[in-house]
Amino acid sequence: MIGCVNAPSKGWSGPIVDDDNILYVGTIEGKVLAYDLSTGVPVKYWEKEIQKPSSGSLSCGRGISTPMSTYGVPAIGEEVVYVGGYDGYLYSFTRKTGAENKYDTGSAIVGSPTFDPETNTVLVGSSNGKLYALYADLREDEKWTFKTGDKIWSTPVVDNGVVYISSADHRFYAIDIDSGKEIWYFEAGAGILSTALIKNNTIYIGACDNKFYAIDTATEEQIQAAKDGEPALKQEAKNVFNGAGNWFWTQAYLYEGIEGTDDDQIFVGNLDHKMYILDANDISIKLGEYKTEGRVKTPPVEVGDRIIFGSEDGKLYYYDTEQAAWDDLCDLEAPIFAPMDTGTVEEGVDEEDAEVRYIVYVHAQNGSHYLHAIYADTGLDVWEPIKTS
Amino acid sequence: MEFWNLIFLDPVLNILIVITNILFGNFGLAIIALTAMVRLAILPLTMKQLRASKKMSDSMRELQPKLQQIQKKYAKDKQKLFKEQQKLFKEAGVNPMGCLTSPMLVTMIIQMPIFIALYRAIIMAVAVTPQDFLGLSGHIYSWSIVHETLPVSGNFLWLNLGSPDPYFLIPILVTATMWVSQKMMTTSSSNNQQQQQSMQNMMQIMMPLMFGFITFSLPSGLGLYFLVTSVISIITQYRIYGWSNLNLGNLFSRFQSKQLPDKTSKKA
Repeated sequence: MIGCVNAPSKGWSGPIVDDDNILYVGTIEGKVLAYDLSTGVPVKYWEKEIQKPSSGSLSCGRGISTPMSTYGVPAIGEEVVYVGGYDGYLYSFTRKTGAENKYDTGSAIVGSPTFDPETNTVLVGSSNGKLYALYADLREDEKWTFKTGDKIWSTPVVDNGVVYISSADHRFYAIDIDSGKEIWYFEAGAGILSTALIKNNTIYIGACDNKFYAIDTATEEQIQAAKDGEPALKQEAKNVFNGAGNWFWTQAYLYEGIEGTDDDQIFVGNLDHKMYILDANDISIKLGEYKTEGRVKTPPVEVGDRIIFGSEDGKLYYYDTEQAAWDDLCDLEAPIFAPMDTGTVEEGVDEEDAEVRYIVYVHAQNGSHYLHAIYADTGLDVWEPIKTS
Repeated sequence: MEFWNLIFLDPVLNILIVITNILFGNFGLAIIALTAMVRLAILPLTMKQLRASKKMSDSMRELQPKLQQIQKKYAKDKQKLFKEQQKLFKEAGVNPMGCLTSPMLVTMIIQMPIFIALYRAIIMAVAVTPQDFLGLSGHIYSWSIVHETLPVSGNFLWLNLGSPDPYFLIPILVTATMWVSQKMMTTSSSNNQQQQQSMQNMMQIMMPLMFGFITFSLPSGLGLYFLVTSVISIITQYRIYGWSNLNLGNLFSRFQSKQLPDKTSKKA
């Protein structure tokens, strides 16, 4: 009942693998881990600790160092990897050595940072409601900041020179990446904590009003108007899906159907325990759903002919796109909240006969946290799960 | 746990969020309003409880001379002393264990789950961390008024309702108002009830200090709830006890005697 108000948060950081086959992941104990997967067996590459002295009250003990957890997925930059900490710092670690740099946003970072290689900009949202556009070397002065009305717990998405970001102030914003000027905003019926999916000039995003929206991306005319100092417009949704039972708090995934046809599908999870399939051309049309035993907060991933997603019930599920059927993949017996990543491994005696198998990397959380690599076809572990905390 | 959530926690939580929406998104005002509404709803029971308590303490005071006589007479025979005391209580229609008999017990039993639910609802609604907010999703109704209110703003006056008061004003006010509330309910007793009196004195000091200390580390939203509860207790108790137990008259006269210079000695 008493407890420390400023006790460490828990975190649900997901793994990401770079082109050199190095996997990066944050932990609830305030660490950032890097593993070399190139030999087929994970070898620790480096490990860094994020720490900040606790500023708790008398009963919590002032001055005692408390590890701060990480929530988002690390973002891969040019030579560095970026990680947002719950302590409000955006960290960068050089990919080879883990040498550290940081920038203070002043408030907890929950979403993932985004690196835009075209403008060499790092973007990150903070719980103080601000979106920061920073130089890649995280120097003290920002390129620009954009203030929303409430906390930003999602990840910025960049498309065609526009940054798209959602906020708990009920709005979803389109911002010019060069100037930081607002192009337009969309208003939902409740806070928006999800990260947008942008495909084929359409933004797909869910909100805490239990609705899922499709919105047109910003046009060239709208972008130019913002650069010219015109006031921001109010954007409307072109379609709405209204059939969910709880909040949308994850990014959707677009499955491109048969080439040449118009049968793209949106897969999106909801806290009502379901994964929904919607018609990407008109998301008010539900094509299917699947009910799990827990809240669905992970974005689905596509591997081969399977769309795989995790649930709070500890299981990985898949939708077979050829059979149009759902099934369990495996049971990790630990809630899966974090985004996943995919990879491949070649197995076989000869290089010529080597078989390529798809892998899903999952960071599951239940008391102790484990990093898994799961074969997408069998659901078996590729290697012994690594205990991250 | 499911039963508890269904009957107590979820309704209180959702009503708290609805009231926040009605009161212009001000969560602090919503805490004050809902606490006051709950106390108002159980006011008849509370008043009954206070009247019963006062009646008992008045009766005990009237019986003091007879009790002292019995204690003198049977000082060496504990068994006989106890028997005669019980006989006297029975004749006078007084039950010294009144706090354990109805209606006082009934009112306490009714109040407890509501107050615990209100306490939990305040913690949940503030939802500081993403985990807290995720947990909230399992308790809110599908009313659009609830969805559009979340997340609630934790800012109220100088406070962040999700964090302790940085200036310690809330814990100080909680300690002071609880002390006043406790003091108003205490009764003076004769030398022969010294043990009871010293227990009362200890409660008067320990309870307020304990709650004040707890409030140091709790979210100030909860401190606000304790403060409003204490203030309402003072108001309802005033209707029954008045200010007499506080001995404000003595306090003021002591204060005055310290402030005024001694003019008679100067004249001499």
